[in-house]
Amino acid sequence: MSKKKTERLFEDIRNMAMRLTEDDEALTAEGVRKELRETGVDPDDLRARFHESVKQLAERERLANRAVPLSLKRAVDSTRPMDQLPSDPVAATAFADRWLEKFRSTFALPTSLEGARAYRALDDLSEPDQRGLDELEAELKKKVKKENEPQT
Amino acid sequence: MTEPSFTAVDFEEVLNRLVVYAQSLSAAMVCAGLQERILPGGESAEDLAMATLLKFVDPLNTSVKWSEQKAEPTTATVLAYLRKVLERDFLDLKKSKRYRTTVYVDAYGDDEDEAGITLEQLAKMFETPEGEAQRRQQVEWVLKQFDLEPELKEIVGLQLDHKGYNAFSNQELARLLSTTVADIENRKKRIKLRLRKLAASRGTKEAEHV
Repeated sequence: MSKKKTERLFEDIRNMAMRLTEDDEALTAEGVRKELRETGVDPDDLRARFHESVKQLAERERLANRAVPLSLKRAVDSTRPMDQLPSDPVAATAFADRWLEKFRSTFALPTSLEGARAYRALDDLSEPDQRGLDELEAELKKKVKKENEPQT
Repeated sequence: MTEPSFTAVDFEEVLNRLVVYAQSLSAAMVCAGLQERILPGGESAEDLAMATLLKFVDPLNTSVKWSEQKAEPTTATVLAYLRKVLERDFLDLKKSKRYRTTVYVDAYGDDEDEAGITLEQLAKMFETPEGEAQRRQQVEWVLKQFDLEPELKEIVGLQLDHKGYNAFSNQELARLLSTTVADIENRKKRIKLRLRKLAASRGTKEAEHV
């Protein structure tokens, strides 16, 4: 009985999760990366951590004299840092295509793009939006300052 | 049967989309009025997504594999398969006795040192009239988080209502709220991000307490 109730609760959770992701399928790969950044996840760091983990798995297989499966090889290749091209020509071409796609998708504009203005002085911005803008400004200033620091 | 080549699978994209889905599951937990106490080193959305994908590519783990009888995998098909796996793992994890929930309702104030109850106990409690009342309070707690953004709050109210959300299309919502469909879509996107952030911040806060 209790199990049924738990399942029902989980069904509600599952349905809500589906509602929250219903528009995500239409997002481009770059759009998903942007959403991750907006929720505090660094997609580059995530890819680097995953790459290290799959590299270790592949290394373990090689040391045990076992063939590295294609799925694992592909996982290593498709998450390489941008400055490490795979040695296999086919994988290298696919890697370069994905790299270029990141630039192209950045410029994909939504079809229903509208212009809008909001002024802080006229109370057009909600408090969270003001906070968000302040955080962005502070982050930008910090970045500029860091980039202009003399190299020691 | 030959081994699938996986050339049409972008593992980075699969990973990113799995994290987004794991975040949505956590946000859905918050909407249901639940928040797990995450133990230090416990599973965040990123940990869970990465663990799911690693299980898939680890040859020593045979529990999550692409059947050779299936068609050549693509990013979309692998993602659809792993979302199911992640969902199952997520719910199993939450059922585990190790994880206990804290119910955030105003009546409990900000004292988050409550002992918490297991999800099964909570599910049972929700069936009672008191539990139903408490659930309503939890929905109010989530709505309160949108007090400063009334334009989002009116949609969140519908989103948390089991019947309401699907009863209105974006066009109908736009008509009801005297705005454009694009604005409704934009508001929904902001709500989604806010709920995911809310879930993530609750998890972090809890981790600091344990």
